[in-house]
This record gives sequence, structure tokens and C-alpha cells, in this order.
Amino acid sequence: MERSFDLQLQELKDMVVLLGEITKKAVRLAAELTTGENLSVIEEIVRLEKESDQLETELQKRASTLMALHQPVAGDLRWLLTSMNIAHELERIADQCLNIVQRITESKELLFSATLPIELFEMTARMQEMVDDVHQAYIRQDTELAQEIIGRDIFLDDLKTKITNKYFELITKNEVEPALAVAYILISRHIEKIGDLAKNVAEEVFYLVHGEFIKHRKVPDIYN
Amino acid sequence: MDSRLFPEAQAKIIVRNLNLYYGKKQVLKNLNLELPEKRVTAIIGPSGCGKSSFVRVLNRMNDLIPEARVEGQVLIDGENIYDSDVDLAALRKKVGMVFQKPNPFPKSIFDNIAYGLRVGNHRKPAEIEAIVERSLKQAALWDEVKDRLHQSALRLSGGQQQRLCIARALAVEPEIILFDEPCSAIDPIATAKVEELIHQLKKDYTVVIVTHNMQQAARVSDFTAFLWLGELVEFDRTEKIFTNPKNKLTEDYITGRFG
Repeated sequence: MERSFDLQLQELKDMVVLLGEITKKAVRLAAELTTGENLSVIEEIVRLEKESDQLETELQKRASTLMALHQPVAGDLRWLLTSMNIAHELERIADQCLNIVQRITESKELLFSATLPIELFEMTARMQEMVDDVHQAYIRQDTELAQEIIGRDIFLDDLKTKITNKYFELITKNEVEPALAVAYILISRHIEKIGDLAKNVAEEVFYLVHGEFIKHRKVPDIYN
Repeated sequence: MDSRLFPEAQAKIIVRNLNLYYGKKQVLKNLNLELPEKRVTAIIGPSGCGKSSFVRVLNRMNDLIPEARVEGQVLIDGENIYDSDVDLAALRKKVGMVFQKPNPFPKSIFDNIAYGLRVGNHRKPAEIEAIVERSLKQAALWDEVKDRLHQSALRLSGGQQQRLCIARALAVEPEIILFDEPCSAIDPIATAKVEELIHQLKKDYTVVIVTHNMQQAARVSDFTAFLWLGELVEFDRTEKIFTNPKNKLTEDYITGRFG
């Protein structure tokens, strides 16, 4: 006999998948905006961010009710907790997409008159890959993929550091417009943050399947 | 049983290869587990899984059932309580029991507790009075009854009667207290009081509680044993059982997917 709790929990899982789709789209458009200088996507990113807010709020409300009324344990509890946590991380990814929109809007003349650093190109590609893959890892409860994603976060960290150091140096040497350098640095930070959040989702997937918290563990320890 | 489960505590009760039969029916099957001292262990499982029978084994209450037969060992502080020379009165003094339904004697509140103290003992009245007061305080009932100690215990509410039974069990200074579904006949407010009391008791006593109420097991116990058809399916720290049990049967039972 199917329990009513199972049906309600399935709805929550579906909401997380939907929220993941929204986030993936927002990230893809934010990448397009950054690399393709396509301002027409801004409106859609703003809309997607709002939609993610509403969906997350609704999910948290339903999850709290389920928690209070059914007091789930074991696997049910982990599904509920991870749904709430993952929804929160996904909504924050959409927030970061909106931050990218803001950075680009406020410096668009400068940005569009210069050539985008190669590191930012690479960052946008890696960011999209991480967000797409973590969505799959959640759907398939694939902890191997989740662990791999956690390992990938370091590449975004390194690229951000590279951009930050490079443009600070150029500012000191007076070889770049400071506003442009700051825009690059901030965009790289937003992208790096998206990588962090995708990593958090991957850690939640691991907890969901194995019941083990791997947050704050070093990458080699996670593989052991 | 893996004693690394509670490296911080001593095993108070060690159960080895325990089998219990009622006539030809085997109710407990080769149980092996160690229950830690001054901790609360919950025994959970569906009706008929043998959980009440198991706690009754721990103070030989099953001796009262003519067709009951026990095999294996139950060591309390290293001594097998099924050895032929065991003093049953001393065992039951050491291992107290609180039952599902409050069962006060049809006597005054005071006499309910004093009764066990007077049996076989020559205590002075002042000493008895002191123990009655101490036991009622330990059972968190003193403030509610101190002005009517000589009224009938049967006039107390169900929850108060249950705490009186706990006070009565505490009066003879046991080391282990067995609770057999102590809250199934009382309301949620009284249940909360009894649960809080169990929480307090583990400072001084080893507690074993049988409960049908999964949330109660989760709230009050440090360790949980899941029995199914007389077998021990899983025994672990309560937080582990309720967040990430190892066995699928345990998961199905505690999440309500049984049957």
C-alpha cells in the first residue's frame, strides 16, 4: 500500500528536479551573457531567479509540514532534509546568476569593448558542467558522479585566484581600466561561488545515499 | 555483539545465545547483545516480535509462566541470572520493572512505596519516610502528592499512578529498571513527564524500555535494538538507527513500510 507520505515526498523530489532545471537554464543563460555579450537573456534570468525563489519557498513550506506531521526517520528523513538543503543551494545558484547580470549590466560598455579573459571562458564552461552534472547526480543518486563534482570545485577556485592575481597586478601596473578589472574579478567570484554551491549539492547527494556527512572533508578523504 | 558500540560505558547486561520457548513455540532466537550501564536502551519491533518477552527474561519474570523455557545466558554484572543458585528476590530487587498499565496497590500513596520496604526488612519508620520522600522526588511526583500521602493511590490520575509505580520500583534501590511500554495507557502530557523522568534516571540506573512508539524510542534512548520474529535484526546507537539503519528490515519498520 502506498503511503500518503510517499506521494507527498515524491512531489518534493519533483520540485527539486524542477528547481534544478530552472537553475541549469539560469546558469546557461548567465554563461551566454558573460561570453556571448547577449543582453537579451537578462530578462529571462531575472524571471528564472524569481521563479526559483517562489519554488524554494513553497518547497520549504511543504517540507516543514511533512516534517511536523509525519516525523520521518531514516531514508525518509534524509530525503526530506536533502530536498530542503538542495533547494536552498539551487536557489542560491540562481541568485549568483542574478549577481552576474548585475555586474555585467553596470559595466557593459567596458566589458563589451574588451576581450574576455580566457580564464573566464573556461570558468563559465566548467560552471555549466558542474551544475548540469550535479542535477544528474541527484536524479540518479549517483554518488560516484557526486564525488567527482566535489573534486572539480578546485579548478574553479584556481581559475578565480588566477584572474584575481592577474588583474590586481595589471591594476598596480596601470595596464587595465580598474573598473573593468574589478568587474572580471567579481564575475569570477560569482562563478566560483556557483561551483561551491554545486559542490554543496553533490555533498547532499552523498548524504542522501550513504547517510554520511562529507562536508569540510578533504577531497582524497572523500574517495577513501 | 560489538562492544565498540559503547566504548564510553560498561556492559551492565550481557545476553549470550539466548533462546526462549513458550512450550513448543520459540519466541526468542539466539539473541546476543550487550546493554550498556547507565544508558537507556529501547527495544522496538512489531507486536509479537518478542520484545516484552525479552525484558521479562532480564528479571526472570518468565519463570511465572509454567511452559516457558530459557536457554543461553543472561549475565548481569558478570553473573548468570539463570544459574540455579540465584536468589530471585534479590534479582528482582536489583532489576525493577514498570508495566504497561499503572498497577498501584489499593492502598495509600505512602503505603504503595513503603510496602516493598517493609517486606523482609526491619527499617525504622523514619527511615521508611525518608525513602518514600526520596523515591517520590526521584519520580517527579513529590510536589503533586506531598500533602496527600495518606490518600488512596487509586485517586491519582493515570500518569500520576504510573509515576507512583516508578517511585515504588525506585524505593528498593534497583540498579536496572525495565519499562514495558510504560506510556501506552497514559496521555501525551503524562507521557512527556515519564519520558523526562527516564532521561533523569539514566544518571543512576541502567534502563531498558520496550515501546511501540518509535518516536518515543528515538526521544528517550541512547541505544535501540530492533527485534523481528524473535531475532535481533539490528542494535546500534539510536541516532544511527533513526537516520541511517544498516538493515532494510529496520528501515522498513521504522518508516512504517511494514505489511
